[in-house]
Amino acid sequence: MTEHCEHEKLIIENHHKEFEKEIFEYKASTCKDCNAVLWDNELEKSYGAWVNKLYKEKRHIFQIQYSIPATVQECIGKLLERFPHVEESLLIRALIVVYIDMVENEQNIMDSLEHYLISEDYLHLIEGQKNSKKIQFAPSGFQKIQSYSKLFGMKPNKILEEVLNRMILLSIREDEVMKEFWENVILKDIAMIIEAA
Amino acid sequence: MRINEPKSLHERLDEEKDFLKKLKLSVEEGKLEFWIDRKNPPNLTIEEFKIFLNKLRRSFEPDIVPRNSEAGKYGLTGEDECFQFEAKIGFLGTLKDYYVKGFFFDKDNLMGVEIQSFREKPQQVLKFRTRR
Repeated sequence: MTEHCEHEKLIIENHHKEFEKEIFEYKASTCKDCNAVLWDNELEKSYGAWVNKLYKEKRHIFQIQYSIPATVQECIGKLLERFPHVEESLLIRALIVVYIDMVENEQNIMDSLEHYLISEDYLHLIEGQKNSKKIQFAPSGFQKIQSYSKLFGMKPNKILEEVLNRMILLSIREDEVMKEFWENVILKDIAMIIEAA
Repeated sequence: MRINEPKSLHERLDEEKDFLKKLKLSVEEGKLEFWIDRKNPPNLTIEEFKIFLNKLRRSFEPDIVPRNSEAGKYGLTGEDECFQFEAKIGFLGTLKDYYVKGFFFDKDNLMGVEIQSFREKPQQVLKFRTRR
């Protein structure tokens, strides 16, 4: 078997894919040389339907337990006041989506954020007692966090914790660039997500 | 001459000269044939590939190598050459390198891409400036 196998010898075989201890069974072309399995659009569609069915039957699977520092929790409470009648879980999901899909792509904001991650303010923000919480995601959001977890070798709960800490740090900094970004970009995106939910 | 008629995926892929845009367009709107679970070294999943791709922002030119295999659904009709590249992506202060190899198909009627390899390059994980 070469390191760069082009999958020349194919057979159809039965396979299974594990998702949170549940098993998705399927048949697919398989390379006899390197055992690679061909995943195509049809299989992706079948798998998506299977995950959605699982979501209807066993929602608890799509929950992630995480811990949150008391000060960060307090800041989330204050932020929630800006979105009356919105549940905290929805705001937290919005914060996570906005960070992953948008903030991480803004290099100047990331540079500022990284700078403040070694500040005393950040240490004060994340120190002290932590509260344990659970949050449920839709299949797509849950799978996205799982994929980030695998790609970067971080546990899903650690991703949630770090993202929330960073978003709250962004929200409280007096730094002009971060403040403007928070007020004019992030809050608007959060409001749009909440409105669409 | 067609007026105001939306271009087909084939036409858009055919016209797209930027490799990264062409790859993203193929994955998002075309057919994606993706090899998973290969052993030593293992390929990652389709979900992980889509996140990786979405994190790539700057245009680049991949290496082009001849394609050896004619097996598979698009083995005979796919482009004769494979693209391959390595790219580094980051998240929450962690950087990782990935390797990608594949080819577009069909060569006369572009409609998708086959990803033969997508895996992490063995390396030291770089951590920077993040206190937990």
